[in-house]
Amino acid sequence: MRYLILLILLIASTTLDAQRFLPKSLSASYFGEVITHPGLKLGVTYELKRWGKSKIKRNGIEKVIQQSFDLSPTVGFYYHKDYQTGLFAMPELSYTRKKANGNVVAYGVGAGYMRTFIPHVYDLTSTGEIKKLHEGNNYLLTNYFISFGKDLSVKHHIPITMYIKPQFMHALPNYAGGVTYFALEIGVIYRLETN
Amino acid sequence: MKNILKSLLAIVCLALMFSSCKKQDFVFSSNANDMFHVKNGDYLIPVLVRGNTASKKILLYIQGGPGYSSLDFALGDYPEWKNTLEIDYAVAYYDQRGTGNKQGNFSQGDLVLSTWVEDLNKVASFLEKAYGAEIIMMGHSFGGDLMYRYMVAKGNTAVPSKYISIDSPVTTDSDDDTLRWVFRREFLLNTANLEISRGKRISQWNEVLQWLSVNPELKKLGGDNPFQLWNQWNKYVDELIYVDYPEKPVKIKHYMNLVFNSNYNILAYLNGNYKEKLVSRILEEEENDFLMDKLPLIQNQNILVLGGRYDDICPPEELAYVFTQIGSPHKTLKIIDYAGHTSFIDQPTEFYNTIKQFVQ
Repeated sequence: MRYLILLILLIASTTLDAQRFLPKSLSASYFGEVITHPGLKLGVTYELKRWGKSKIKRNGIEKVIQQSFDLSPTVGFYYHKDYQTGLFAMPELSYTRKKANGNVVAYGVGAGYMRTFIPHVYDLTSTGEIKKLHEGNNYLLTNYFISFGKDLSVKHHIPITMYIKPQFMHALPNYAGGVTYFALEIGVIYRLETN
Repeated sequence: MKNILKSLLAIVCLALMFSSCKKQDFVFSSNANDMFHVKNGDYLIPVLVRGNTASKKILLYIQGGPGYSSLDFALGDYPEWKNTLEIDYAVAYYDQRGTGNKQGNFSQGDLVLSTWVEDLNKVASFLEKAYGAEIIMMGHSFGGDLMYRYMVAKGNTAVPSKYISIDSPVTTDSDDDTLRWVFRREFLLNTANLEISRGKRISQWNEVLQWLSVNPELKKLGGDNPFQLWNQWNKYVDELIYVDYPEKPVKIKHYMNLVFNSNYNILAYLNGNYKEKLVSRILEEEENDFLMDKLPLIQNQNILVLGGRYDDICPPEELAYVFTQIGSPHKTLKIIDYAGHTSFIDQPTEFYNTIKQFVQ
């Protein structure tokens, strides 16, 4: 076990430095389970690795694509009337490509914890009394997403990226092999560092 | 950063308040719309009670299928009861265990049918207590089968005061269930004669009569095409009866409402692989547990057996036999003319009047 911890620390020390423990950006988004059931999601993003690639196009203009691996701890909730309220904390790992014109695409996965709260639950006890209960479920939650964004700093010098992020989430354990959700995030990323 | 965290905390607290705030429970109204869950063991049964709870009469609707969900049926108001039954009474809709909006890591039980009977009893008991109302069970198609099983299992301890079976067959597709194709043959014969007397598709119905005369028994045959007689029966029904009594189409707005504006998590709802397994378990159980033989055990309950004259899934010939098998003297048989397997859609006024007369 201690060798495993040592190995993790060693790998972490080669990929991260003190500077990178500072978050690169903050994000806030509308989080709509099945689009219309409202919620909110907040996150901070740490850059794990960044690199660039440039190409000279036929017209002689250099095309630069910035790429990065990012880690984003997030928290959020959604409210689905008469079904459940979900509260989750989920780190996400993503691969991001940003073009020189500010168009951003990211692909990623996340894994975390979700607690659901089920509204208006009652029991009829053996003595014939109606009892109100507080019920919910604990889940291991994963998500799989693609995100499309526009970095406004390129044209407007505003350190904000707007994005839209459709995703599927899968929660376990649940009857029939888990429960799947579709959600849509629409939000902004505020860049803290100036690069 | 601190401010952001504070805001987040406030939002989370607000969300928790939304999810746990106590609703104003079970207020009697002529226009109730109460959605809640009733716990039975490890399962939370979603229930919608809508309509006139002030009437102190609740029609507990049991969905067919098996495996169809009931709440979407109510949300889309597929039978249009908002303007009929729900004006006079309240109607309770619930999703059977493992169907519709299931959530959590619950067990289905070793025998699904008996678990579903217990869930039904729990919902009925809860509604009676919560609303202080008289409960009338109303099962459609497979829902009627489940209701009969409930009546047999619970006997004198059953909750409802009355029962309504709508278009509910009792026979199954089991090879041992020889009655099914006896009734179906009779149905085709009677329908052919009726249609000819009404001057409809005379030449085609005469062909049916001729076919029936050379096939006095519709049974599985030997050889390469064992189901040829049953297939031919289905062909005649599809071509000559179904065209007049098709299923009511569901509109796009109902799908949109279900996806974006209902209590359903649509991906959990559409878990087809799981639903297929559940349905085959139920059908297997049904086939191994002959219900027809148990109907004489229904002794004292008051029941209305209702069907459509043109219902090919639950032929009136079968209903007439079911009616004779029910042990209780408190029973009524009603066959609605010009109606198929959804008599509440095909002849809504006559359906409504029949229910009203029975319930009052």
